[in-house]
Amino acid sequence: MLGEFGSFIIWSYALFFGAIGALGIWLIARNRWATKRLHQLQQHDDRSKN
Amino acid sequence: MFNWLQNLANPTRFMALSGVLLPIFGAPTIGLLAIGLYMSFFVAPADYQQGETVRIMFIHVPAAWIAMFCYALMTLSAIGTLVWRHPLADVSARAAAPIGAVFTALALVTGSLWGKPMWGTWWVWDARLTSVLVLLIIYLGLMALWRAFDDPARAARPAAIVILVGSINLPIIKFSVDWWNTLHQPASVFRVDGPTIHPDLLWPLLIMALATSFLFLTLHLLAMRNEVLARRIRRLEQSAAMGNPARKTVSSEVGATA
Repeated sequence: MLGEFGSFIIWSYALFFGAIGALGIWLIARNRWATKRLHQLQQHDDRSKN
Repeated sequence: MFNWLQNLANPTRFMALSGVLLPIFGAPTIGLLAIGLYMSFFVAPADYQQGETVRIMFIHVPAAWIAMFCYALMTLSAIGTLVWRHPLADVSARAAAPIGAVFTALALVTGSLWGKPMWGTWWVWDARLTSVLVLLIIYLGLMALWRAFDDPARAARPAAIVILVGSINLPIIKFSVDWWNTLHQPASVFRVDGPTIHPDLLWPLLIMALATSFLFLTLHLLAMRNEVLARRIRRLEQSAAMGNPARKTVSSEVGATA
């Protein structure tokens, strides 16, 4: 279907979607970790104030 | 407009607004990518010269456009940092750099995968390819510069100056194909006399470009939220280490440059 150079096309799309997918997953994972860590620190901070 | 931007200096307000905007940008990203992919493979015809290989254009060109748009956004953010000292400007620039680096690397790699069957070579040191490689090096250099500082607020001004100096590369990339004799083809969409691409190929390209733009906005907003959270965490960790409870949220925690 994609002709003689089909593997070049498939590699291009695989790399494109693989890279943006990995970037998206990394950003979401970092966001979740940061939200959790911030919550922990805020609780600790509130305890210190009391 | 300026007052609205000033209001966003409050991180709590920014986090609330970005939380609303994320799904607004995210949903069209998925829909447009699905439509764009379908059009790229099932609607767009093979090119009369390049054959099926022309389909690489539908990801290569949007990646290259976003790589440049991202740097233009960082340049505006650098101006915001240096002129108005807006706390979110540095957050915006720092969050954009890794995303810009990924899109630049994708433009180079997909261009190489397109070049091998069409030009017979993976790489040539022509002006367009070299100037885009320089853009990638600038992105990586800026990321290293930000990481070299313990305090993100102290890195804001030097990074903004480097961004402004690096912005001279943007017109060089754009006009490299006109100023020098390059293997890379000249502009075929953004031309004074209109696009030279057939509409059957132009429409899938524009849809994919729109999808990639929404994708960039989503990723950038997410990265900015992460940066704001990281700075809050840093401030609380510092306060905990010094044994002082942190003060309530202030705009300086997102990196005031004063």
